Amino acid sequence: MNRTLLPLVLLSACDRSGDYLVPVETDVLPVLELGELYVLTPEEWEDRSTRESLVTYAEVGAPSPGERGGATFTFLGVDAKVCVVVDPEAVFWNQSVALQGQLESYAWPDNYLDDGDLDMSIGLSANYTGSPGIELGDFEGLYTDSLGHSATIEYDLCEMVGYYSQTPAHAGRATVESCEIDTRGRAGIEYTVVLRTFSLPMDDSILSFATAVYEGACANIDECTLPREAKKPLDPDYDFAGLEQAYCANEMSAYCHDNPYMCGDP
Amino acid sequence: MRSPFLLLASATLCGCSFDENLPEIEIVGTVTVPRAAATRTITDDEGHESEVTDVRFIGPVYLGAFPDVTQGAFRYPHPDMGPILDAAYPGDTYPYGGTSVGRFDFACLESVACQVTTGRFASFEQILEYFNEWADDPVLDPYGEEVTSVRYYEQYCFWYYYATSYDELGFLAVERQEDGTWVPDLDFEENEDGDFVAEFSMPHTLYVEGMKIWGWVDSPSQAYTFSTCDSDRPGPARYDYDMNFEAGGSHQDILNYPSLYIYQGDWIVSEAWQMTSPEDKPEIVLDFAYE
Repeated sequence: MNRTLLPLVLLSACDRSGDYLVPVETDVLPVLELGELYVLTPEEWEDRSTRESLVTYAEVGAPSPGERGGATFTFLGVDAKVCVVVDPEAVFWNQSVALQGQLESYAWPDNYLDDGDLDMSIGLSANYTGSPGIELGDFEGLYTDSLGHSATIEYDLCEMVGYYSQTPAHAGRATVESCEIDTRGRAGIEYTVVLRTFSLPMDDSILSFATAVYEGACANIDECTLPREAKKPLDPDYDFAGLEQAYCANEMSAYCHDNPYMCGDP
Repeated sequence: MRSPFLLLASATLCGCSFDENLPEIEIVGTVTVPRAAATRTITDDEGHESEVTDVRFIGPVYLGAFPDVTQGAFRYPHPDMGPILDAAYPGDTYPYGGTSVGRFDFACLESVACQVTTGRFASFEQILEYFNEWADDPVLDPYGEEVTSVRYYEQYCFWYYYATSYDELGFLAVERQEDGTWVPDLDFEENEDGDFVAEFSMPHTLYVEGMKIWGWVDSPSQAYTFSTCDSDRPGPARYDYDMNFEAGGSHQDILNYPSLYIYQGDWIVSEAWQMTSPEDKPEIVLDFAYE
């Protein structure tokens, strides 16, 4: 009896097809060039309605296996510090699982189906190795010393610091990234921003995102700085922009209660 | 029955003969610090000056392997640099490897953070003498009182590090004898010329024929501080009770950007040793006084 049951029990563990791990084929470009983005003035950035009207929204699809996908755009130096922000869809939070002192807002688990991840790097366009819109590159150069030995030089100017103060670092799934670039003395010089696709949403393999460049320091950047980046859910019943809105209003508990399919079981 | 064991032993031994063909070598040699670099004029409480020569005045010695060392870019010999990406910053020297003779270690009390180099002090008495009498920068306990008792300092260190023996205290250069006594085990020894010589080991260094071994000693400033120590690094700091400070440690890019850390008073290699064979045993001399 036991000998019969054991294989059945083992087989039951294999009832997952894994299809959700295979990218969905779409017509959305895997490598996207957005052109030159306008650098918002500090006043335009501070005014929320003006800021949101000047945010650039776009989406990238799944690259072919073995190829790098993502988006690029450029901006011109303004002889001041600028901040580049990118917010991939949709929203991510850690579920609060504490038995005592549980945070009600985070009591429901995150719905990760519409979450993607873009990793940002920024450098002078002269140092960019890719072909905009065709092939994604990086900012690595080669230095050969007097004895003929070569070493890689990293021209990426985007230095993000990790949780444990390590560099380089990138934010994770569906989490906003920002980088401060000092363009003083380089007014009118072109910079390239590379948003490399690290992971795509599992529901449609289309990663929508919002991005903007403004003059000033990167401060108080969070998920709610660039809203409504989750534009195009495969199933119109899934309103990830609404989920983000609830997240920013700290009303997730009520939202998840009313729309349980948007969140997991608490 | 014995065959499996013989096979297993043979297989294990085979693993030890595998040559990974790594282009890295361990360079072993000596470095000589001139007597003048270990000599200071000390003024006692009554204003009398005297000249003291002691290895405690020798800071960490930094050595690296570089493609070339040339004159011109700075007021002292300096390794070749890569491109300068920031006008306010020198180029990276892209060293093949490096090491140091002595490193900063935290001698338990905040007042001596970033000021104690390993391999220089053989006892608590020597630390107290150096700071309290020579440097006129007394060792202070957490309450701001000058530490004059060796016993008190020792017990505080054992408490701070949860230690029970001298060999757990990295800043003490001592060696335990079979009879249980401790004898000094300093990095440097005085040679017949009156200079100070230490052995060094530069492990896992990329070997490129013709590369040069170069370095310098970070001599303590007039205030007995060191430019190569980063006081913002936590080091072995403890953040309990009312202790809230960083214990300090070496900067991480000392060999990549030496010019950021070399100051007047340091001694530098003027003639870098050129490696012509992986078996070379360099004899490095820090003979250039940067004044």
